[in-house]
Amino acid sequence: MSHRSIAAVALAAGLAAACADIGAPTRADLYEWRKVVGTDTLSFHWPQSFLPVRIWAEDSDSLPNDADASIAQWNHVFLYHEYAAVRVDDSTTADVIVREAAPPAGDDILLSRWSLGSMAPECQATTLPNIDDTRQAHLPMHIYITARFSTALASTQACLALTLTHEIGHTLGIFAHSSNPNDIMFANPAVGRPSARDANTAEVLYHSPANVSPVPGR
Amino acid sequence: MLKSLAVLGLVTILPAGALCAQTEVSVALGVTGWTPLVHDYVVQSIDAKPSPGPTIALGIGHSIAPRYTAGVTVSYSSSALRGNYGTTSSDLGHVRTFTAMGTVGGHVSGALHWQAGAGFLHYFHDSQAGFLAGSGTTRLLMGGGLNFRRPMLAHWDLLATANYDFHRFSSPDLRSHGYTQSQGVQRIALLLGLARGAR
Repeated sequence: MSHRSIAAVALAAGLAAACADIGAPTRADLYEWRKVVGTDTLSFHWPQSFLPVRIWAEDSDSLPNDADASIAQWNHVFLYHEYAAVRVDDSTTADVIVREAAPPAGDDILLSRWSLGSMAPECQATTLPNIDDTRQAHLPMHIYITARFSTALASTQACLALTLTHEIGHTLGIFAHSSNPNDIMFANPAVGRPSARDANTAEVLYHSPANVSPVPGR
Repeated sequence: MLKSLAVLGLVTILPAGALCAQTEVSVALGVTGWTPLVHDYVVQSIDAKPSPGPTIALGIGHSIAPRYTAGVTVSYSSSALRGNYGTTSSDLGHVRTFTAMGTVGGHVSGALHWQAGAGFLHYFHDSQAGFLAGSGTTRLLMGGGLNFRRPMLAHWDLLATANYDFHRFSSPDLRSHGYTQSQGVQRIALLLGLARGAR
């Protein structure tokens, strides 16, 4: 083989190496994230102009630390900054408010994770995204979380932590529940962090059209 | 990285007489343009691409034959990184890179010279989110370019450089998200500066 041929082969190989794309995962394994209300299907994600989403957590038990961990886990899911959240110290500037309390009575859409006694009796929670009939989400959204037993118990602390991750998953736009118990968005979650299916769902959600818009409420 | 830049910076400000007759040094400023770091698809096409960013390059070379030189070039570049998909453009922070290349070069004609080389490129990142979160990553690099050098002062020449390089990009975070292989990334740098020493 002549020097010219070798140079041509090397150049072709170099150009192929320089141009080839990365092998991206398919993200085909996911679940329905939209909320069906009557005949309407609600799909929501935070616009870029609202990022980072500001989350305030009541200084009660380990709620602030749990919120930090949950936020970090969900932030890690998004490679292209489609969603990002931070914890803030001032509740009056928050987009999402987390309280250790029972939810108030009302007719808002409830995205609840009620513990099933035999499976996870330690805690329960409800997310109120405050969506009206015109598909506007009036901020702040609210998360109410309560322990059923002493928060000194390790099992209760673990339940509060993973349940808060689940509820923050609702506030970022996953308005439905997974049918797979290995997902954090399973109705009665048992895993500690978002699974690959949770991540796929969240990423696809943020690249799909939304029909619910957030409206600053303060 | 800063140590390397400092050493080369000191060399460039040495009196011309302190340089070996066969040694040349250069410093140049300019801009580097990029192809996307990641080309992805989630419902829609996604490009994570650095914007053209300022670049500083320092070089030192030594004659190894009548028409050839060998040397080292280091450069530092900073660019805003954005994720573009649909009508959305997300802010991925800044990507800062340090490059070190061993080069060989030669004379083309007149004031025009060529150079080619290989080395490494290190990515720094200051964001805790996104595909460059946490520690940076280092990649092998190949490239080449053309230099135009024209005498300007007694010991200083005007230097205009057009460089092309490519590498394969990936990061620990991309791999942990299930990405395989790597993305071909090409860069072009246009630089203007000063050189002195061997002509």
